[in-house]
Amino acid sequence: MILVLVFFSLLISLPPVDDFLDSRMVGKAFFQNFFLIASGMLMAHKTEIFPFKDNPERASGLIIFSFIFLFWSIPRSIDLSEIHWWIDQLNHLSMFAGGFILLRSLKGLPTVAKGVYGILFSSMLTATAMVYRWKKVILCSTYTLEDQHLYGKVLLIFGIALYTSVILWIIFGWSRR
Amino acid sequence: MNLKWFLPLPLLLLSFSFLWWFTLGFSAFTVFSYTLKKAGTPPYPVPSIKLICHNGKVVSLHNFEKRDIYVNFIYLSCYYGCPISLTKMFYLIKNSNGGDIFISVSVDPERDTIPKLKERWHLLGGFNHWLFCKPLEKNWKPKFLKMGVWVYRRKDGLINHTLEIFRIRNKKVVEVIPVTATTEVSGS
Repeated sequence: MILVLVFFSLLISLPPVDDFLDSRMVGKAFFQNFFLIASGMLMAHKTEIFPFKDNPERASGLIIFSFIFLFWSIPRSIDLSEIHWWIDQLNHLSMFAGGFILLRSLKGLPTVAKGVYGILFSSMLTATAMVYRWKKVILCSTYTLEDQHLYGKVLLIFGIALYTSVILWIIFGWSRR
Repeated sequence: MNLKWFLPLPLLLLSFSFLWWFTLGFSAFTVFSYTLKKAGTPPYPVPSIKLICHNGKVVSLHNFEKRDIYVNFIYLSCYYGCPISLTKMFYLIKNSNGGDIFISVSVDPERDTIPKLKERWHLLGGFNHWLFCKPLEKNWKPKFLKMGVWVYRRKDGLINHTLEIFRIRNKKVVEVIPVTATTEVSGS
């Protein structure tokens, strides 16, 4: 399982798959990033690497993950990672590590904190998506306006879905008590 | 104090500081606005850029002292941003006092030949004080960057570049005029 995860993460981080995904903004900033985050989370779930006792990341882990995600959502960061190969690799690595840290942090947090973070994160995601979807000027010089709007649309759908899921999770969590 | 509670605060501070530094104080989120900010706050000096124009004459942005020069950046096969920028140039020409010089600089000097620039100049009214030029030097990009102009050529040939219009006087950029409703970004 771990080997499969590493293999797929490497596969989408290296050419020609990386080049293919990078050719569209939605491929680079959405599919690739979320795949790497999910791989990192799965890796954290499946392995006992760095078995920190009692998951000491907690809030620190959430801050690190939020910072990583926020940084790679900035148009200039997306441009830089498209222009420079090494920055692109840094993006892949940090997203994978971010996913790894996120799951470990979530495991160590109380339910209320998880719910609050879920709402905050999905709000951030939706707000970012709105900017990319409705801004009528190009934000990333390496992509076209159509690319940008498509990315915004996909991210918006994902953000709203995540938002709804978090709210439902909170409601059902309460009702089960 | 328990490290578990102490660590988030410096981490938050570090993340915030890094983002502050990266976006020049949360004011430059795109390469366009970053390049513009990095060039300086007007008035800032203009590098000596030599241009060859549609009429075959060689000019420099340092040439026209005591006159206002309005400079925008275009390329002839551009379909999205350049028409907006050119429309703004028209507006500025209409409102100028007659003594100002207007220069549209091509960011695609390989494909935009002098006859093509002349054709476009003619098509857009053939104004005497509106020049259609392209950089004469081969290594023109660093000078454009120094002026605050970002140019990126995609693999498909599309060029995304700064759309703002630069008002130059006495070898200095004295004003950066936005062409869109917002000043945040540009593109083509």
